[in-house]
Amino acid sequence: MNTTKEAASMSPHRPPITVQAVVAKLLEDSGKTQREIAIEMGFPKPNVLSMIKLGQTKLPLDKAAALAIACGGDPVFLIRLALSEYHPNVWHTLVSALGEPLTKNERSLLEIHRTIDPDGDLEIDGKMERELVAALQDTAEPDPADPIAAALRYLRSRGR
Amino acid sequence: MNPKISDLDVAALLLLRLGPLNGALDDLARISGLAGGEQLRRIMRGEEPLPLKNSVALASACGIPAVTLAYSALAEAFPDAHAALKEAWGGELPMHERRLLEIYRACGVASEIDLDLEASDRVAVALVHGFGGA
Repeated sequence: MNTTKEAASMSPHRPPITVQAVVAKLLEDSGKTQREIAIEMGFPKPNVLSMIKLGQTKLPLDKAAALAIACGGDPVFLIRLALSEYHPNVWHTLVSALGEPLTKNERSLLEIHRTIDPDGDLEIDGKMERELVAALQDTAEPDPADPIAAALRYLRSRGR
Repeated sequence: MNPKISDLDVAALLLLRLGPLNGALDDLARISGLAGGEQLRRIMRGEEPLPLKNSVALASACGIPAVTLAYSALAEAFPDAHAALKEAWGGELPMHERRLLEIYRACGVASEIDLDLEASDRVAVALVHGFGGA
């Protein structure tokens, strides 16, 4: 069994993520200049990105996908955030009928879960939540003798 | 295709519903937050897109399912966003899958944790352990 190296805590009163914060993070993590990103997105001037990052103007919804792709992010992540922040009533209407749109990573996560729990009848309790957080944040000390991890490593080494 | 989603565009949806109500269009436009009846007529003729922000109120005012009009308005006003979302709507998820997504989303700060092979394996191991598999 893995042991956690540090407490992986999630504040119950975490402030909501904003488009402004996500755009700032995307730009920061992209490894590109704002000028390069602006050109890829079809923005004539990079200062529009600075204005969005500073909260001085909204991200145009029709540019959200291009911005996410130019920065190496998932378009769904940014578009759904922009929709929920800028058009909350439209967002709630769509989600209530269609469910939330899921990013590629989220679809992968559900696939992993459905593989392990195909009947979908096992609950996520507090212990599992702590293990999941540690796994996602990579704060768990790997146990070299863990048979599940060893089996996965073996399958990966066989190209599966 | 979700039965609540229509292949008809906004203009066709509104024309079918409101065509016989020409005299009432000014009232409907006002209730929906549009500039006036003439704007609604232009939208019905397909000459301008329905602003997304007005789509739910207009649907409610004229008896069209809100999701039908909002979805069509999104597709027409923001085609790139609509295209990105089109295959991504997750449908209704069971409670424990919603909880799993909540946990995943809470772990990222203004971004997503990338589920590469290593992260996927760590998650798989955590789930197996949690379910009592080891």
